[in-house]
Amino acid sequence: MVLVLCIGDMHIPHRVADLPPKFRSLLVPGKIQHVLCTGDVCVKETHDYLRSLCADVHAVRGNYDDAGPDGFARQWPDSKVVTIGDFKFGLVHGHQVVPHGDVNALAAAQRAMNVDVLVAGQAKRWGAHKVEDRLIVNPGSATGAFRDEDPEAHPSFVLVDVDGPRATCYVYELRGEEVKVDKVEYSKA
Amino acid sequence: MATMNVSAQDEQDKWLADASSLVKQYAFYMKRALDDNNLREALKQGSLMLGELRTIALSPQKYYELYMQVWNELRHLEAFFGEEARHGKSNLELYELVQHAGNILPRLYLLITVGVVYIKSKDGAAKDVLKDLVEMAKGVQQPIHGLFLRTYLSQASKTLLPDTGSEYEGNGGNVNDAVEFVLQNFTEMNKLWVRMQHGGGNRDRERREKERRELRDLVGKNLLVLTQLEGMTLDLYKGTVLPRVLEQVINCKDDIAQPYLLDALIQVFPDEFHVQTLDAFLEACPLLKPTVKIGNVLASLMERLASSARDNPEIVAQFVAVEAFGKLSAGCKSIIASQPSMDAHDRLQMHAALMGFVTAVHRDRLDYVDDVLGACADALNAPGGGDEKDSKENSSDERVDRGGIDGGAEDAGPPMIVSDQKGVRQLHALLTVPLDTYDVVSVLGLSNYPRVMSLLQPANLRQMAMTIVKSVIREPEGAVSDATQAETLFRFISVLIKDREGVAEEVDEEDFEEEQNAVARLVHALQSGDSDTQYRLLVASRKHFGQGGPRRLKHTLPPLAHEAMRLGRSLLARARADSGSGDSGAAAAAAAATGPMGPALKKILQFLHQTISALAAAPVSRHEPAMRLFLEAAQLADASGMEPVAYEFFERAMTIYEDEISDSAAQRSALSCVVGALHSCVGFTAESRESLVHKTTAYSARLLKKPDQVRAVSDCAHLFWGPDGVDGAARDATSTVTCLKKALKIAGGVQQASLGGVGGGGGDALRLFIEVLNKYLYFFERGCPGVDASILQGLLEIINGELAGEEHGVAPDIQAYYGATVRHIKHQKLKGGEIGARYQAISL
Repeated sequence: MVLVLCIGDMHIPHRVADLPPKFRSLLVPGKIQHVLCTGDVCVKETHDYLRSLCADVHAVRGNYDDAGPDGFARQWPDSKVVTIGDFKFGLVHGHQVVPHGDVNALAAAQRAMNVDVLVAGQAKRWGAHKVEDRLIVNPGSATGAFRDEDPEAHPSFVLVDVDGPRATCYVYELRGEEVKVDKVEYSKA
Repeated sequence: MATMNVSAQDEQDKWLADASSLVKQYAFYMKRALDDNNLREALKQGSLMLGELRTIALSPQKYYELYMQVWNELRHLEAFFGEEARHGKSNLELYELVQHAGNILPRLYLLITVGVVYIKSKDGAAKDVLKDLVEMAKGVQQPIHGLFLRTYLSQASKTLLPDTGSEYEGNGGNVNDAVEFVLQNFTEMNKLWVRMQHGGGNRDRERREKERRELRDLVGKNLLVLTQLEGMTLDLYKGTVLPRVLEQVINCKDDIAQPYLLDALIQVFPDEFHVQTLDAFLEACPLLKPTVKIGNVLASLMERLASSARDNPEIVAQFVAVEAFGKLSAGCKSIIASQPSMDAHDRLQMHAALMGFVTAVHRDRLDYVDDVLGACADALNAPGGGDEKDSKENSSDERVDRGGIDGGAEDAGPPMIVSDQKGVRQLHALLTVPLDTYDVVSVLGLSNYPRVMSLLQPANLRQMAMTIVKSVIREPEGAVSDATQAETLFRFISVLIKDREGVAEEVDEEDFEEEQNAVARLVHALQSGDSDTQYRLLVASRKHFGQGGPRRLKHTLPPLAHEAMRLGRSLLARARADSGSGDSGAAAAAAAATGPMGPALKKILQFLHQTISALAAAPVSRHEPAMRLFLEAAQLADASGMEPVAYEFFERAMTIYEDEISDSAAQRSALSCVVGALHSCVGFTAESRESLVHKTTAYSARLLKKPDQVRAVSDCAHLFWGPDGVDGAARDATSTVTCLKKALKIAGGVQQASLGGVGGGGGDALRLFIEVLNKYLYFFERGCPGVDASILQGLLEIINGELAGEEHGVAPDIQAYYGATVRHIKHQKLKGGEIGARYQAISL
């Protein structure tokens, strides 16, 4: 069992003050093997937090990640392909794909990257969608940073359990004080 | 010096070894006499052995070792005394007999040893024998000899006291006799211990004090014996023990004994006793020597009481019933009055302990917190004290600013300077504890909080300000909910928000970042349920951040802009709910602009314009955030029906693009954002839209690399074909097709260039064709007129031709891309419905 944390769009400190404490207590070191971060973590502190969870952190650059010469995100690419077990994961922040948040546009991007699972952030809505024979995972914002644009945009992240040709996605969502978990199963054709 | 110490040490070891071997030798003969039942000989050898304890050469530590050795040997003698049958003497006879020993010290040890047996046999009444022994021990006045002799007495008699419930109670006396005996022994021991200080010259003072500290527990143990008595009650403690101990403590006038014994008293007796005897304890404190650090003793009492309140909530009611807080705080005041030379640390420690007491016992009394802070400020001559009434009327905000100017109470000196690490830590703790316990904003509003804070040196204010910021962030949302509270908060943390006038401060770059990020997070703590108030909070914050200089703006303005947008979105949501005009689209936007929320929305957009412009003007290394904010603000303006404002925001974003973003990858990324934002807009007039779209397409076609041009131009096709089912969205199929064709043409150019031998371009062109094909498929699925099966078929043929014509084979990733695209088409064919039917026209 290999656990992959898909997380991003924290926007701390620009849009919110912190990660929800409930999430902090769920996300503890030693349980996750890989982190795929969709970007817009905005400050080094938040990236350091992800690195405290596990050693293997992959991140792509969002609009607010400082990629200047001294910026913490200067080495981050716009997109990245990471192979974990039997799966090829593609990672993008999402702003490069227009129209923003459009599943069909994301599916086209996924074809171009030729990946089994596309992890893309920036969209207000989260979840795991099977499109044809592929999977698109949208972890949403771990801090609920888009809540004022969409009242349904609760804080969320996605854990993917990779096991041979099967990937089980657990979509975590914080509604009020309650953590809801949705399960989506996906098998490689 | 070192060699001298070593030789002194060697000397001590030698003396101890000599004495020890003599003790061993006498003990041997003593035990042999015991085996022979020869009492007289045993006593003689025992006396000789005990005589070794008459040495004055050994240090207390070495003397203790010798004493323990002797003590072990005495057990044999005691056992023998207990067997009357063997020595044939009555206990009384024995008691008389040992009085004949020649030297007083051995005689008294023997007497005690016999006395123990005498009491155990119950022939002698415990109270009488003990009284006799404790009186006779007065005969030894050499301090170390006396202290150990009395320690022997105390150890030997511990189980023989006529305590309540003990077998020696009754004829042997009662608990009062036991207490009397222990107190007397304690008093005498203390006198001996204190007297050690006064032997010898000033030269040995340091050594003597060290030795005394080594011996202090011998004296203190008596208090432990008292507290372990079954019959020890509050009344007995209050009526006898405490007065007698305090009397001895006060009268001994000794710098080491006074704090040690009071502390021992606090530590060994239960808190229930302390609560009920606070008056007596506190009255004694100012009577101690002025050089004694009595503040520390009182602090330790308060810390102990606080921790007992935390562990045992039931005791809290007792504290309240006896008005412990009032007494303790009066106690602190009178100690400070009696010790004018007390240093700042001790004053702080005492008040920190008092604060700890308040937070543990009185979680509902914020006024007590203010009292403690006020007392501490007074104790350190912080400015702003003096006339109580006057200070209460002034708002706390002014007080921070008044800082060092105000003179404080007339008779007080200048404020005590706290700049060393320990003092700063104490002050910091004193200010932090209430923040952790009570509502942060209320604490900051206390009149004395700024007074205590003014004692911090400017260099140390940053850390305290950070603590305050973090405390506010930890509070539930809405902790700071009106402009007055915000003003108070900003004054306390002004050191983080702006540079101090005329001071060039060296702050570590990483610390600076951390501080500014914390301030940025703080912005989200300013929340009011009321939109007007929320707007005022934003304006107040903006005003303060504006003074922060360009370095800070890049950190402080983005959260402010986002909060403004958040407020705008919530007003918009209300406007939509009120007008019932749906969730999106041009009509809903127009209704919002003309509805009751219109003016407020307009104000927020103005605020955004001004805030983001300030960010754009700040010297930053990256301009993407300002551009992105303009785009987000533009979307808000569009949804609010403020077309000219939305247009202006897009223009500003584009100006940043033109002037500041030069890296080609950054340009490509920025253009995606522009397209994404513009795509969703619904309110533009045809003319405005055309102007913005034209600019965007022009930027796209001017990108440095051809492949980027192809992708960007094909993305622009979306600008003519807005989201489905949204009123006001763009629907211009002809321009969509024109745009896609333009992208295809540029891809064709790339192909031509590769044929011209530029090398390696063939694969690139193929990839671009497949990308454009996918874009066509997107619009084909959407049913965009003009994007029909024949165009797609043509494109597929071009690509197939290219694939077949590639001499060196096609790169696997391109093959995979094409394969994925073909698979997508097959999926769509199988889908059925309208889209499936449309796809039937395509043959693969």
